Amino acid sequence: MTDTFDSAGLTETADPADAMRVEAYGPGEPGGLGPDDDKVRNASLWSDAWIQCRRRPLFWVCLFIIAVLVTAAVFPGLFTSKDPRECSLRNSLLTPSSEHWFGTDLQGCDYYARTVYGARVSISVGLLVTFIATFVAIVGGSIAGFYGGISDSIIGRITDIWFAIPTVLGGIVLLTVLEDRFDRNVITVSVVLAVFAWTTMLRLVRSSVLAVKEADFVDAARALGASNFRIITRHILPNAITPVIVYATITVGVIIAAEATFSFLGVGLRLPSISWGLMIAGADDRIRTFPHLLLFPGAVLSITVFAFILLGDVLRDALDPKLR
Amino acid sequence: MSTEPILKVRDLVKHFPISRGIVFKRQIGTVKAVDGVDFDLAPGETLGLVGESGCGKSTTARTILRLEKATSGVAEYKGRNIFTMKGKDVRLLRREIQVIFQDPYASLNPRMTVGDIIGEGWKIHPDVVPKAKRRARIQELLELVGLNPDHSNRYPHQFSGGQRQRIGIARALALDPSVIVADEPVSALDVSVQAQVVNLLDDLQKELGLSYLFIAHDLSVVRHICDRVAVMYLGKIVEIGTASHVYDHTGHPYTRALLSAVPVPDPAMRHRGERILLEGDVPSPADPPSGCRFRTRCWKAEDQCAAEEPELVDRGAAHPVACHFPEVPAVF
Amino acid sequence: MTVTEPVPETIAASDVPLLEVVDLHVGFRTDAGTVNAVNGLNYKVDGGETLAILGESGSGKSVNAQAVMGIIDSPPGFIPKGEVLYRGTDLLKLPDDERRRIRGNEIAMVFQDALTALNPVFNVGWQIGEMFRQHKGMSKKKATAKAVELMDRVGIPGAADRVHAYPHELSGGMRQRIMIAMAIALDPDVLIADEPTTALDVTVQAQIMDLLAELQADTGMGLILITHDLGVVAEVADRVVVMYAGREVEKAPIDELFAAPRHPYTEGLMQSIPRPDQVTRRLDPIRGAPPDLLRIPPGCAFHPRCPYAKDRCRTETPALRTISTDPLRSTACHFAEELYS
Repeated sequence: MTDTFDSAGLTETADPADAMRVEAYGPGEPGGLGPDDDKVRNASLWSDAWIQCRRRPLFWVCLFIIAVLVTAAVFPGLFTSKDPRECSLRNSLLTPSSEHWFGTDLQGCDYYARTVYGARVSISVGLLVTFIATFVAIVGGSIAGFYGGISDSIIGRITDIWFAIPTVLGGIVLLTVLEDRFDRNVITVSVVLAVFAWTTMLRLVRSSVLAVKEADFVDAARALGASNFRIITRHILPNAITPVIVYATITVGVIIAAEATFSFLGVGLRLPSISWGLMIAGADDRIRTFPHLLLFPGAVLSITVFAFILLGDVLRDALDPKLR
Repeated sequence: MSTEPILKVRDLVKHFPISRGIVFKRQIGTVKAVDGVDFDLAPGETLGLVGESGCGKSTTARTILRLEKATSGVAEYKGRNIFTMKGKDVRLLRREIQVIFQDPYASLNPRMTVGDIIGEGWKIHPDVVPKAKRRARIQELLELVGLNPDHSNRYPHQFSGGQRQRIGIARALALDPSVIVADEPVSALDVSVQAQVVNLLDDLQKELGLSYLFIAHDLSVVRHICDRVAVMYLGKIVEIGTASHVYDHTGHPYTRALLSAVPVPDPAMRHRGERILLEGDVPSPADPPSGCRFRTRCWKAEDQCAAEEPELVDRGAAHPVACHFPEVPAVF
Repeated sequence: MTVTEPVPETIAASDVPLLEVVDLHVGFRTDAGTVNAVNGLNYKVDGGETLAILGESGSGKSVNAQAVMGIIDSPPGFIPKGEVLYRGTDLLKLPDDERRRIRGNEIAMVFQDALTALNPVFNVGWQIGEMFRQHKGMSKKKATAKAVELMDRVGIPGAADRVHAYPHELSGGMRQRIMIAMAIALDPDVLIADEPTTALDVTVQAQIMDLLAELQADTGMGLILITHDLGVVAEVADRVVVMYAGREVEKAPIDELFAAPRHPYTEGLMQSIPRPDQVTRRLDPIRGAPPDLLRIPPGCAFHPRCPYAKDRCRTETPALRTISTDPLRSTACHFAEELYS
């Protein structure tokens, strides 16, 4: 990792009384006017973060991997001309070759095509769960943090209790219970995972809302007569959201792994769905003889999870220099 | 002054409960941050509220702005009680009383452009400036506070501390208020920049006929900018009067000690020999001394001071002083 | 108008000064470029003397103190040039362990914010005692006894009871007294006080300044007072160095400086502050804001804000030089003689 040193860090190193407000002072222009127009960096948090990110090779690597995966999820046909469901037992359990890059599985399906088509499930589950969980966390966390008092106590207690339920165990139980009533599809698996994914994020939203709530600009908005809704959406959330975005990015990776785990354990998606977890599950009794059955989906899954987690890391460094 | 006060505060009390326990909270004490404060603010006047940290001056301001709920007491804006107002009246009040904060870094939302910050009030009170004229009005306001009118698309961090304070002032002026509560508006600024903001506040008052409630701990700045001064100690006003009365004909021992502690930027005054050093610290506002709250640090304290709380009345100094044994003023 | 050659110092008590700083430069490397926090600073302090370093935020006054103490974070900080001579020895060239011995033993420092400078998880007695245990190898019991003694000396009432108090249990003034107790624990020869009273109320500020003056009179230490407050300077300093944008712009004995400043910045500062003891006319502020240390204006750093600036000020950086009419003082203004005669 590059050890960059930015001005925010500098202000902390130096004594606060003598802080060199590198950011704050434009070239001292007489008459109290601002910095020269041409020299101004334009200048929101996001453009600062972008400048930080784009210097880091790791950022581009993660972004490239994720871009490839998302493209595969949306247009799998771009990566393979084979149909993952067109299988022939004649081709059962072939090792990798120029015809079948990743070999074939027991049914004789092209393993490369199945790996490509598997991205759709992983990416949709990862994004859907993260979206639902983030939404719940932002709404709940904002209410708890902003209003405090009874709403905070209630939401806080529920979160604590929920937090105590182990995700995998809870997920298995819930998916087993729901089996009779609902199809096992991407939506049901996502909803069940989302049920357990929001707790940490809600705590994160709550604590960062609490911190921003104390800022003078919130009081200033109140003094202007702004409604609570306006204060939360315009003033608090935009300033409280960065740690959530970082955590959400990491969550996408974690959820993709969780979906694979569930499918592997037989409580997630089922055949004929195509999912990396199912592919790994199908490989487990032939690992010694046909390691490629485990190796390819396993590697792709790990790389995917890794890319999201690393991207979260890079974003954290860029968005919140204080954490470095 | 014969004119009706624009702001009238009577027996203002703000107590904060001290509670313990997480699930079952119980109150174990009360911080008496503001404990019976009276003052008037006349139109076009600047009243300074001075005192050391913890004396309740900022809490007084926050209650008047309804950023904190008053425990009891009355604050009237043009004869109408601020604390009992509801709905539409509160919205109208917001237009009349505005605020400037101390910290120019924390008081502006870093995610909003300067134009959005200044114009936010009009989103809440759309009738103040019609939509079509808002852009021009933002530029006008920027110019009024001495900033480049073309900088409305910039973000706060692109400005220096003094410039940010000007943005805060422009935001306060956007709703055409008649009273501005300024909570330590210059104390976070560099020495060489403070004077710019003090002068700006001065000019704006003359131009717009504003009344200021000026909260500060810097007695030099207060003397410069304020018509009248109220000195607070442990939640109460101990002395109130015109600046020249309070500074030159000081009645309360605390005011005298406070004034004598202010370093004078003149080495010739170094051995002026009237320096009063107070002993110890300010007592806790959760458990203030009986009688006169200053008696524990006062060199003139007698039994009467512990038994009887001195009222804030004129004791021959031509202005009210809350002390049983006020400094004898020179005849004037 | 005759310009004599630059003389680094004007008052010299003995041949080897207690502490002397020569042509000190300090920079910080950042993503955006090098921040030049201190750009050529010279001063000396003798025992029993109080030198005030006056400047606003970004003037480099605190960075200078950190450089003298040897507590600049490096990286990003670095000292490209300069000497810090303690009794004639250049501290910047000493090995780390030597330096650590001098820090605390010979040169000590008091910080602005006592709450963050004290460790919240240890009681104050332990923290004062640490000085004796570390530097003098005293036993725990003896060190605590010494701590009580010191707390008594810095005017903490009931020192024996408060020795076990934690920093957050004390008021701001008391915490600053603890900081001072730690600083004077080992009888240093030089005490650097970096904005020691800025975070305090005026009545407490008066107490602390009094305490420092009293301790100085007792011990004969040299005191370097770093502050932005002209009032505090006027109350306690013997001599003053005025800093702007990392450079020294004026140096003078206290009475002379206040009687008649010889640099437009000093003059501007004095005209821009109100006085507590008399009604002031309209304030005359310095226009603009202190410069960005990444882009210090060429020539005289003050020229964009200076009402007297001429073409020469924009191109030629004025060096600090003694004033021909007044050999006790020096200024870094090209036109000092013309402006102030």
